[in-house]
Amino acid sequence: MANLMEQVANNVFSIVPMQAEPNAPRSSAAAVSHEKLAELRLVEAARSGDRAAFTELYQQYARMVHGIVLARAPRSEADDLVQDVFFFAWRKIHTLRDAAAFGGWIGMIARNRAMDYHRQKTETEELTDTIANTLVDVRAEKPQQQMEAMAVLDTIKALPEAYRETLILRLVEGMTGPEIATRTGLTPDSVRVNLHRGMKMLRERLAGYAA
Amino acid sequence: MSLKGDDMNDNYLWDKAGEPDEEVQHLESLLSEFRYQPRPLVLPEATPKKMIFSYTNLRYAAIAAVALLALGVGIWLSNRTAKNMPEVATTSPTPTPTKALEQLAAPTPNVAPPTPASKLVKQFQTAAPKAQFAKHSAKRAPRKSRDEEGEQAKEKVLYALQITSEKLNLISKKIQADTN
Repeated sequence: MANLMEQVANNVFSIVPMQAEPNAPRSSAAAVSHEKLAELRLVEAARSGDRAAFTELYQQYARMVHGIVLARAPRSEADDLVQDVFFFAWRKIHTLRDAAAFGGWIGMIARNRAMDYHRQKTETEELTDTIANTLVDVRAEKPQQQMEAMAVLDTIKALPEAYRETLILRLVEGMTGPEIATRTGLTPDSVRVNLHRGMKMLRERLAGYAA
Repeated sequence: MSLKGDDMNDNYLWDKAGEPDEEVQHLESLLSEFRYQPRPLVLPEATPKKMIFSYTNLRYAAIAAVALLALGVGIWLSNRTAKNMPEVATTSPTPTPTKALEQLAAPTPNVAPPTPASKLVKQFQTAAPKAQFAKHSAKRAPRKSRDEEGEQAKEKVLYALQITSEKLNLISKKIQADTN
């Protein structure tokens, strides 16, 4: 195991400086690789049943999972869904082969869990007039800023999937582009394009509502 | 990136660096109320199962592969020996007594000599049951030898299985000794 970790560490140290932008300081690349190495150790430990390691992974990834879930499910359910996702991940972490793919893996669980939630909801509960009226009443009680926030969130949720998820991670969860790329496993270029195009589309739609 | 030259400055949107974009800042502050609020993680008491592909599982997989190989070789060998054994040929069956009696009881023709066409019909009528009989007897005769071959093959397979199970026992004992 120690040899394996050393090999992984060597790979990380050899790859990260090449991937970093030319102008980026060398110390930040080293910091990223140290962070990645620490994360790999946490995943390895969690796979062997270490609760503390898994809890630390939860603290690191909860924001991302919350953002992914919020992009698909009602915000009132998002917190519970985050718990569900990590609960499921804890039970299934032994099936994760590549420790470096933890971010992408848990992101996929979050997407599937949010879709399952929708499937179950549509099977069991339809939006009746009473529920709809209650929602309208709740909205009427909210102050103007909250109403605006909800309208913006709804607009983001109506965007194409790739843009909606990236924008929520950036604007709601406050993650930076490089952080989103590292956590989700997407390339920085993809994240940058999604942010740029998503923001452009959001601006257009919000301008349309204002007019 | 093809974003250069675009009128929108997305540096702030990308990594919060550079000149702040007022609209993005406004959206950030507006949407911050939906941000994740840290909560303690509640995990079940039971620890997750160990990895599927451990070295022990690999050993068991190797043992199973060896057992399957031994079984396959056993079956192949039994088939091979069965093919090499001489077959009992039965091409000309003996006529049955009932057939002979029927021929004797049949009236002798005292009319004109048979034409070539009637000869052919007669030949066909007599040859058809013979062929059927030959077919049946050919099936019946080697059945005995096949049963014997089957028994032999069965014994060989059982013997191979015995050897394999003994080997498996030995290997599992060794593994247990190693783990202890």
